Amino acid sequence: MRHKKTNLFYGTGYHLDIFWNIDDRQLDLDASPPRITHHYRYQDLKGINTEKYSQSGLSANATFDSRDNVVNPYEGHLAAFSFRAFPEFLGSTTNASQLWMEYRT
Amino acid sequence: MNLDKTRPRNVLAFWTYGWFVNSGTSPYLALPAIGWDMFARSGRPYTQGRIRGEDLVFAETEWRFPLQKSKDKWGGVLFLSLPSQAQFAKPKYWFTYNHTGRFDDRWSFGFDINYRTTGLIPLNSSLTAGRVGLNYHTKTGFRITGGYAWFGTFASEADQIWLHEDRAYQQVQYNHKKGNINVVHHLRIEQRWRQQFTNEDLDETISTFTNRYRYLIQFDGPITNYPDNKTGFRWQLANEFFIHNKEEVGYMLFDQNRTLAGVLISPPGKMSVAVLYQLIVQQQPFLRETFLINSFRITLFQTLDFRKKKKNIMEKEIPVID
Repeated sequence: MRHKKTNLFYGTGYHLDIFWNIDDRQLDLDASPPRITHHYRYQDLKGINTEKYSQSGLSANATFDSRDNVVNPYEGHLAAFSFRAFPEFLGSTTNASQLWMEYRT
Repeated sequence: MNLDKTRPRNVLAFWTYGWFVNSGTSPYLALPAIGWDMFARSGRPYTQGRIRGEDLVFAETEWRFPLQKSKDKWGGVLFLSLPSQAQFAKPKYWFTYNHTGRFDDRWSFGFDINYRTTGLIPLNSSLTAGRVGLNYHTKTGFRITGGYAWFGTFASEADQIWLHEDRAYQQVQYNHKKGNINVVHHLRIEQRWRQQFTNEDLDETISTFTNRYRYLIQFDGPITNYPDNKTGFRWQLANEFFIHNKEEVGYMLFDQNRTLAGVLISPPGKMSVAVLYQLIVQQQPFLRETFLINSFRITLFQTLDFRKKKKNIMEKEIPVID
């Protein structure tokens, strides 16, 4: 939605990422010493399933865009802000929130 | 950003973003990672996902220039890109609604509601507070305030959920301008009656009385110069220093220092929003340690004017961080 007649836009969104059947080919737990991957180590540390998980949540977004051309701008600014919340009750494997802040000129 | 007015194609461009898991745990493949922006262009020449972590900061600058003297058919590009992944202590969040109502040329009232949390998902409240005050605006540009505040600290370990604090405060504020930069000073004295646990079992409390003095200096200036009917952007910088006077509070008078920096967004109308990063250096009285606390503060300011008669004073109220 555009705020009045300004370069400010805002909106909400829904995000769904389902990862399943994760086949970590570098991982070899039977080797000696076991060959551990970053994925395995992180998931193990946080106590999350290493083969499947999902992230489902809502986001609040705002963008300020005064660029003259989106593909090859000569002047103007772009500032973007996105907050994404992934609570367990919406189907996420773990509670989490993420923040995205961006600026271009 | 154009480098040469006669050659619009001579452009220096900047791009930066930060992507953070600010509370909870994200699974590995959903972590912030390089190249997962909308057009998968960040972090050239790394493969997508090469740099991954809970907190990611990226900056790229690019120079696009023409290669021919007057024609624009051929051009060149040079870029430098700096992706970085780091681990920060999880920040706190402070949300505030701050209201000022002017009902007389000399008098106004203000109140604010604060909510502080140490995590958003899962939500982890730490403090709720409210403050009311009456302001008197002098002819010489001072604003004198007296008021009362209640603070409730959330103590989830104990059966008693809230630790109450009653506070009376007096404040003097003075604003002046340097060019198009606003400078605000305020000095505040607080009388605090705080409820505290007396033992480690957290089942008994006493109320202690202390005085605290705080001085704030705030600067704000325009980022963009738009006319009144467009959204205004201002930068804001502030520092506030606190001293506490009672000995049982700690072995030092120094209580805390807060440094803030951020942006104030004012769409046309009576509301504006400040998004600020705040670094707190705080003295922990009993542990005899100094702590660093990262926090983000989001404040919604609303200023209303209830004056019915002709208004003699039309100066705009400057949103001040509280």
